[in-house]
Amino acid sequence: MPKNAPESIMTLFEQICDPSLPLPIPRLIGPVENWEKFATFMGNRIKTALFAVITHPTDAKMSNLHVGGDLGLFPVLRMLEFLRRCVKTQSLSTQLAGVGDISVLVRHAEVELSREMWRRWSCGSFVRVRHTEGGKLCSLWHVFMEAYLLSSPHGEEQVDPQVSHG
Amino acid sequence: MVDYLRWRSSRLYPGQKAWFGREWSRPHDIPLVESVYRQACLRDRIADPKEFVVTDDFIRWARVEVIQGMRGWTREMDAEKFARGQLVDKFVWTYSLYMVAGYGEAGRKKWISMAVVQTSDWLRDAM
Repeated sequence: MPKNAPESIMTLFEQICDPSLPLPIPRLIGPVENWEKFATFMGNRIKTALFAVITHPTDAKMSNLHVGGDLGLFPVLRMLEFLRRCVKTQSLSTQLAGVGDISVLVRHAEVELSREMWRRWSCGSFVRVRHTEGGKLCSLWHVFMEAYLLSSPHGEEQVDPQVSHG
Repeated sequence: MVDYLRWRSSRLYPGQKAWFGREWSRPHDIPLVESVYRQACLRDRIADPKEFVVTDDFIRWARVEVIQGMRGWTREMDAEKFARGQLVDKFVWTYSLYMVAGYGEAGRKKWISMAVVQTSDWLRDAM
């Protein structure tokens, strides 16, 4: 938290982070003091968490991340969701305009998380069955996916408005 | 809370073209491979542990018709075609080959070990 944060922000922050509470609705929260500082603070937390997710190794056992585990990803995901809703809220988006990259960060985080989800899905499928007849295909796929994600920056991804569900 | 996660995950997906575009025609006569492809194209996964990986029955990769189908597919594949494939294409091919090699008789056949070696080279080249 920013130092000397007012009581109201502390309460709001707790509500955002606590998985047992419903996420606060941006439209309904009162005026927030130091709103820009607060949003930047959450943005930095999200950036750190994203880095941890992306660099989390895909190896024999730990390809999938537990959001509620020791990594404590869940509060950060709630921050992300809260900021996403703030960006979509008219009355707040003008205030947030001062915090330049928040909406960019929200979009960036969504794409990165979905890329990681697919990567871990594909790598895990190989890991589940270990055998020698497949040569090094399993480990090669892991390295290939890592190289692929590094070489195709997320900015080039086009957003498809239609969500398919086979 | 699971519903919340599902709702969020349905909004999360990588870009379509570079990842999910369909570059080659896959062998439609292997339903097992088609099912892997369908799963690879999902952008919405159920928050259930068995959905964390491809859901297939290992033993089905040992079936004669699957092995024959894969043999036909290996004849069509070459370095150039592989390089042209999108991410999903590359995954379905590599995974299917890996599974057929690991189950049943096919793993000891020369054509499949050749294909495994070649695919390893193609993957290295694609990095």
